[in-house]
Amino acid sequence: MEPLGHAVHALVSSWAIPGALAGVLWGILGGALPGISPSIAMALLLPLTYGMDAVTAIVLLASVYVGAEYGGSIPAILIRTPGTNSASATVIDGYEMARQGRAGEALGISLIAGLVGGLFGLVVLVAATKPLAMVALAFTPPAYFALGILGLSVVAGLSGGSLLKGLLAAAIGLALATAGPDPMTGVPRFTFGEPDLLSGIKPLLVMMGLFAVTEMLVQIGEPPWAKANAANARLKLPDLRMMKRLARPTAIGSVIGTFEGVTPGAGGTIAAFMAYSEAKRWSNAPEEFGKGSPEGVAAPECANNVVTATALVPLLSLGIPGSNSAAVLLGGFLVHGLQPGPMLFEKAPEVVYGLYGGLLIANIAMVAIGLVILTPCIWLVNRPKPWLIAFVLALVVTGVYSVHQSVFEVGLVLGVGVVGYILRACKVPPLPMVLGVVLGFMIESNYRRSLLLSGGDYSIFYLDKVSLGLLLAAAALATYSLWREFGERAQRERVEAAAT
Amino acid sequence: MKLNAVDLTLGVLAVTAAAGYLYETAQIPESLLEDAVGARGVPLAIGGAMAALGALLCFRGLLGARNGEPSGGERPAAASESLPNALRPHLQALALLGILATYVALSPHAGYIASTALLIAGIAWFAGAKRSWQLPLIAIAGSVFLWVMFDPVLSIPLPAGAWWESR
Repeated sequence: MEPLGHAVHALVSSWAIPGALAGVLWGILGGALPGISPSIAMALLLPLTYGMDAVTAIVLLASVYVGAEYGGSIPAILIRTPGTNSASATVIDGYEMARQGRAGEALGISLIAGLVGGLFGLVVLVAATKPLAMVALAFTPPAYFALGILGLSVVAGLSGGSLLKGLLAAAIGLALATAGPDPMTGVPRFTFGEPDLLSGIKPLLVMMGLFAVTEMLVQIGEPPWAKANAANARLKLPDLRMMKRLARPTAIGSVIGTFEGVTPGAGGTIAAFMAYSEAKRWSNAPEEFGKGSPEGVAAPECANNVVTATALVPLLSLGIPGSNSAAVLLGGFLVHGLQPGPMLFEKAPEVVYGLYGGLLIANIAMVAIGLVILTPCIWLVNRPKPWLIAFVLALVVTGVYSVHQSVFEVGLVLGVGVVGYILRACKVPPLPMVLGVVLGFMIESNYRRSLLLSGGDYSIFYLDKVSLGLLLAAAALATYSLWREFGERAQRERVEAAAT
Repeated sequence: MKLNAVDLTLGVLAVTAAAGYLYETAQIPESLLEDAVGARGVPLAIGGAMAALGALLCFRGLLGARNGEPSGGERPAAASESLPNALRPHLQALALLGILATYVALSPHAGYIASTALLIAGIAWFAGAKRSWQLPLIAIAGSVFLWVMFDPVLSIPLPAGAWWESR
């Protein structure tokens, strides 16, 4: 009970509770605006925390992270524009539900799955920070390489029925990820003399082009989609029956989010994709995925919200910031003279327990704010289609420009949108391409780092136990996906043959 | 035997893109810090994979083989649909892209507020919004709202416009 007492005392003796509420609101706003990543939303507030006490400052920054990760799913569902990287897996079924006039239902599922994920992650953070920190320490370059391969192994499950096209999309994504400085030597690659390409192509830019711009290019030539009727134009929280259906994908998202969160560098994007793929694999209705499945919204939303808490495990216990957002939070600790790591629990328990309490309030505030703002958001996207297309594109170009104040990047996103349009016309699934862009740098840099460590000996990949385990898991996942895909294809062909 | 035009087109595009990518890979300069794999190693493997996948798609397209995709999905152009009608969505997408490209060229000179107002009005008009006095008004209000959100509120500078700055 002592930690609980610490948490309550830390919260009531500071401005942490108002800080959590303000942080979530700011985070949702930042996350919902394309181009404003959670780390940017946090960094914008960092200077304001200088004059605050440590508990309020840390709770404020962590709450921005929670809010931003949730906020990213709002435009992903409503306008096919993921506000954050980790919301990109939500796009597929969330937007499809919105097109069917079920935006309120999709947003309700995302809200509740996010709450469950956030609370589950918090329990893991409180109960298992110290033992889970060992997972982070076990990760060596070959293990990171294997983790990337494990992420890629879900391509088959995301290929929408054509493995060849899915693999091609993944290869295009991996190719885009090689633009910029070589991870080992710093030699510029595929920059075409353009200074804006010297730092590479950010995954978020590819996602905005591939999802938002492509969708608007398609929508301009199509009749209006189903409008939400009065009942569906409101936020609809899942009922008990739906909650029962969502239990499995939520559990899958929780487990994957925990694993990915405690692994520095893995992050919510990989967690969301893997959770989506696994939820489809274990679903009783896998054929609904990609066509507006509630499970396809719940699994990634739960996973990326679990990560908001579990990503703090390596930061708090080892002082390792596993993501950009954790690095900004580390900055918040350092500004207040605190060094995250094993001694933090001894030196400043009130900050650690205050953070736990603040995260609990942030997750509850996320639901309360969501209940207030989501119905107006649905109303907004039910405006006449010409205005919707105009404002979505204005928001996208503004968001893209805001990342680096680069007009070139706006042009780049439009180019990716055109590529996405061509791929869509050829029925190439977009998700494997996103996965390739997200994982490309991680796979290449750790592959080469591993070989550098071993002097070019490939046995390092199977002598490292974590690497071996992950590679075996990747092989098992890929084999199962292939077996299932070929089985489904054979079944389809039998049905079609019987029909003729 | 009937060709699968989609697979064949995609395969040709993939092989062409792979050839361009591999050509650019060959242009990557060598570094004194080069490791065993080198800066070209992974791009070579990716380019090779793209070319192989493209070749497989071409092969499948030529065979006209069933590609295992579930039936349904995006509606193909109906046989009765005339070519101009089938092309119309693509031409509309091209025109929208033209408006966006004009915006990219214009915004550094005209500034964020003016160019974004023009973008919103242009797209809404092109997409079929009712022509009335409200159209420019909503476009300007929308542009100013986005500017307020990003520039003063989030402190992210947006282009002021070279034309206005030079006056």
